[in-house]
Amino acid sequence: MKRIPNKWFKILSILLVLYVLVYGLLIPLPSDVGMLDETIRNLFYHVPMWFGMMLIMLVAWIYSMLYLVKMNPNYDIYATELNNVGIIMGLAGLFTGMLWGFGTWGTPWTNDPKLNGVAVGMCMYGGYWLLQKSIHDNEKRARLIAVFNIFIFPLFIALIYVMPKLATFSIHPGSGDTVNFKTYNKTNNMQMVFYPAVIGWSLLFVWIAELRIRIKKLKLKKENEELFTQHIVTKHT
Amino acid sequence: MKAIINTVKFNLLAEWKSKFSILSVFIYIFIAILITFLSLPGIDKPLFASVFWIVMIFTTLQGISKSFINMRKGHFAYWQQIVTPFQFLASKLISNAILMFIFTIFCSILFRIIHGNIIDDNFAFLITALITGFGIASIFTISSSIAVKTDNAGMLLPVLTVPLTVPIILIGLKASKKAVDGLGFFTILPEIGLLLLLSLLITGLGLLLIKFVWKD
Repeated sequence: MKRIPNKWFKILSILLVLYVLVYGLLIPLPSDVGMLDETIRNLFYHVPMWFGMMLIMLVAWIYSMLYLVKMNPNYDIYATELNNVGIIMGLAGLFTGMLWGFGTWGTPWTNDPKLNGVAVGMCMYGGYWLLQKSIHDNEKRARLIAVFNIFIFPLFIALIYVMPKLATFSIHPGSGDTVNFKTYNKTNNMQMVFYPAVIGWSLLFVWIAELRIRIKKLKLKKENEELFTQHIVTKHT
Repeated sequence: MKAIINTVKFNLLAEWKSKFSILSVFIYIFIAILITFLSLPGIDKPLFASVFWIVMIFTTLQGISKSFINMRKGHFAYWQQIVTPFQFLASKLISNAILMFIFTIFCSILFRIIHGNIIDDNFAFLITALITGFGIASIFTISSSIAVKTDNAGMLLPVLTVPLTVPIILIGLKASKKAVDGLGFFTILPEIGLLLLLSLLITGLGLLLIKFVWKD
């Protein structure tokens, strides 16, 4: 059997996600959740997506800055792939949120600062994705997307985290004048699922990113070897 | 410093020499405002500020960023020999801010003429518009300097640029709605402070990072 690299966090992520998927549906809820009822269980599937996305994108942002300082091509691969996985997480969070909104508000999309901020932020990261597809020179692409990423991450955080907090009116839980999930959580047993959910989902997506990073590194290595052999052949003929 | 001033002079002179492209932006603004008037005659106060900013972003996008988009490879090679990237971006930012100043004033005067006197506090509205315009111009300049290095700049430019302007537009919209309702100059001061802070932050970040975008 072939060795699996960094096996501990993969096993941990599988165990945690399984635990969250099963126990998240079984856990007894606090008695006074109000109109949220059973939909409060979305806390275990929707919120971890955003938490994990912010963590992963923060790491990608740091790698982008490191790339500009050190000019190490590996840092560019880390930043790009972590951001790509972050975009997938953001979309997953968006769709689980829309599903919840359809049950709770009666409509998947409302005029709410948090939702609008996310829409704009996803457009920014869509631009990021297009930018990395539209430049063919490796080194130039790495520089440009690093600079663009350094710009968009603070704006994204401002849009989805700071602006909804400042807004006077919002129906999204935890922003504006709407109460947080913590308000309902008197018995603290929801946190026993919530924190493992954040860790588990993040690790699962880090795993996906790790696979893509390894593929990209191998591709880069192959390209370099081909260039090198071409160089040798032209030199000796 | 002298290089920056000379480059600003050169940029403005180049704009003056190609008058038709500046004129096309003015005509574009006029048509856009005419369409808003034809579709929304008798516009009311809450709508006014939103329509103003939508017209502003989409008309000035081409006008501000065309100086970068029209640059060919040879132009870059020329500029790289005589100025540093910092000086080049600084001069572009200044000349684009001047252009945006002219566009904003033109746009607000035309809105006043076509839609009639809707704004209660004209002075506060103009101040808000100019400061927001400064922020938008700096974002347009910086992101078009990134977009021009890609393989199809014309397609990618709006995608990279317009989402980045949204935070600034939202704050500017809030302030200009207050100005339209005539709540007084002092109520918009926090928004103006936030706008200045955000635009200075973005400009500083752009000036810091331009040297990585610049080289080919």
